[in-house]
Amino acid sequence: MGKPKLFYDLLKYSSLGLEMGAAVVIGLLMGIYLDKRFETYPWLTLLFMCFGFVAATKALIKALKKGIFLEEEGEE
Amino acid sequence: MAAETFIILDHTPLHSALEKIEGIDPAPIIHAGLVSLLLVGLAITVSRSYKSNPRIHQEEKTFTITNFMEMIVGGLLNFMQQTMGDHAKTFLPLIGTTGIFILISNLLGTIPGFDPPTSNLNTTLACAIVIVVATHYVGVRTHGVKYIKHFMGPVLWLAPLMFVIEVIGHLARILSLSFRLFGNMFGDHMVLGIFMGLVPLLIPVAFMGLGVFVSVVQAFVFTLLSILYISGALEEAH
Repeated sequence: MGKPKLFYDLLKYSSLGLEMGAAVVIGLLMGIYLDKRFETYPWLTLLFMCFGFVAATKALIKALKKGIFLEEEGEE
Repeated sequence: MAAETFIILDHTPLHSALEKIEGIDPAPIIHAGLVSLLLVGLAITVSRSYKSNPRIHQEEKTFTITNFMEMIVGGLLNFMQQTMGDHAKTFLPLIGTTGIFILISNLLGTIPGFDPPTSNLNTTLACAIVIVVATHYVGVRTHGVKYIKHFMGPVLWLAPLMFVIEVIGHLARILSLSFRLFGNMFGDHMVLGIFMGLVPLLIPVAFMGLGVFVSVVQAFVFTLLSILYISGALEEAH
């Protein structure tokens, strides 16, 4: 059962990169929209891009917390 | 540049009728419709063979379409039970439908003369939005008002900040789900088309093999991620 589980994990982590990038882009787009709405350029763009970075890091931490059994397999 | 590709369904009356509507690209719509018709036909055939003989799957040793569909659905259910446990049967209709629809759509691209509907962003975006909306619906249905705790984070005074960050994270899921599938299928189809134009003999076979591999893997990744998202909404907030 080790091999397929490793394969699923690889697929799972390969999806992480795109999700991190997408989080930053979504944050940036939200910031640009809100800046246009309230005419506060460039502050909300910067702030929401930082939020995007935090969301990306959060996705990474979440995935790392769930991927403990990768480590266990290495020890065997 | 690659030779002009010939798409069979571009020469149907339905295509020219849809083309008259402003701002519509009829090709992916017609191809998605074709895939849906194919799947509905398959489902009707298989369910009829079960109705006529409920024990068919135990008796037949030869390869039939019923056996094949049972293998696919059974394998998917088995895989879902490993990750979701008892909830697997509840979500099999949703995840199985999107998964098999995407798989057949992807594989349609390897047949010459057809365009995969998933190489258009609108199709993949529709699938991704359905999955993510279903995720939140499931979350609200199982947890009620407490589902908001998923968005709050561990500390109360950080809650407004965490809420914005979580919303960005969930929107990023839609974007990454749809763009991954769209990008892979579009790129795969493009490479195949260009090599078909450059060297029409023998070389495209390698890329067709690669295309089948990418189709299956991307359909599987989409299914795996939707299972993960839904089981994430099912579990308790921590």
